[in-house]
Amino acid sequence: MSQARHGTVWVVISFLLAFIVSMLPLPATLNLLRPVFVLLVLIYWVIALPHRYGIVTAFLVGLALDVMTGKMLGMNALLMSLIAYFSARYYSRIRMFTRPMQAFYVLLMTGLALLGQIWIENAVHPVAIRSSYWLPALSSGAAWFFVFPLLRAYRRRLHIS
Amino acid sequence: MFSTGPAQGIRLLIAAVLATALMIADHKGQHVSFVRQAIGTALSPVVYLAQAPNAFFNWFSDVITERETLMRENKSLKDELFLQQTQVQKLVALEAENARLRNLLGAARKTRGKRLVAEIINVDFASAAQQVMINRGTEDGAFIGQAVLDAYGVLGQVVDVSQYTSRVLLLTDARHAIPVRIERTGFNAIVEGAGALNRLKLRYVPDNADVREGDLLVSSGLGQRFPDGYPVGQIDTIRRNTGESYADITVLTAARMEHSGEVMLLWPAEPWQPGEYGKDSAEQTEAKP
Repeated sequence: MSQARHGTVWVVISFLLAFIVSMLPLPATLNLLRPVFVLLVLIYWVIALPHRYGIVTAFLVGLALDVMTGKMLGMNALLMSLIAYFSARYYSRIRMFTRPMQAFYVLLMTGLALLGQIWIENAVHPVAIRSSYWLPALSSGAAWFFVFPLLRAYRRRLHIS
Repeated sequence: MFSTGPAQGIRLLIAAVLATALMIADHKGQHVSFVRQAIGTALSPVVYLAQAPNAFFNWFSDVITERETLMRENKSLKDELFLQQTQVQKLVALEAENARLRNLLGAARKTRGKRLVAEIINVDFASAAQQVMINRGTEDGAFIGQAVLDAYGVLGQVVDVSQYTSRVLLLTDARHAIPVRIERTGFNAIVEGAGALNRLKLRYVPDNADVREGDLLVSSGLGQRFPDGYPVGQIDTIRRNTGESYADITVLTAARMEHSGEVMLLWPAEPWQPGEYGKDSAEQTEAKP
């Protein structure tokens, strides 16, 4: 059992790092292009260890993200849970994907999260968005190419299983 | 593997129901603000760590600055201080005169409430909501609805507090409105956020009202949330449409929102009491609903 729980601390740390990176002050133009690192890390752990990280993790992480970004409480929790559900359901297929296909999957999921976010916010009060609103989906997809190898090395190095 | 289909489906359902309940509770009022506050407090180390590289860079650039540059800067700051001090002298006389006049009118005399400098630690302009995070929380007495200024004018108000950080909704957010007075004419109006950087809209000003481009808008204090007399913005353009009863007026904020730096938190001023001059008034401030 202790073998199955190995490395939980490191996973928590990886999420904390993702939060720090998503809060680092950046110039305005770069800020528009900031990938949703927390989501990338979540998708990685759900695909890599679907028996340990799934909807519950996603819900908690989403709740933390809601607080950090000042959104309505529960919005990201809902969207992240949905994404974790898809990723856990099809993890064996996603693992077989080529890297560009995985990146496209990440792009799709981030886009879906952004879409869900605007739906929910719009239902509460009308909001106006610019086309730059969708940029994080593109950059998250692109970021997968280096986040994935990084996290894989992290997992292997620390024997998280 | 126990990531079987039905169990996952049920988990998703529970998560969805819980999240929706949270959203409704959050939207309908401050029912779940304790959850927000608890998570915010728990995550505040993350916020400070994210700020660390910036702080280090500032410190480092201070350390390696040349002596000559520092002396020049010191000199210019001293000059500026001197200028400000001479202006403050005038202000003291004006304040006294104001108090005397208010006494004659029988109005309550006002003192300045407590104020506290805070630092902006995260600017998020990417999303539709325009908010910033600052490094003061309930620990310092910050409360929801508190007015926040920067060096040039009104910046926004606190909408969310945790123990060590709070979140400020900027004037420019589309959900934000502030009662203002046109300084030149004394005309009262409402300024709403336009959802874009440094842009506001002046609402409900009749087509034939006396407004000019360049007019200064100051907070009127009518909403009881912002103290009166602080600069809010300057009228940028006026478009009068025939057939419409109100003019389209855009306003540029006095506060410079693109500069993240230091801001000032204000506590409401209390009516003046003999023998209490200069005392901090933070203990008696309560969050207004």
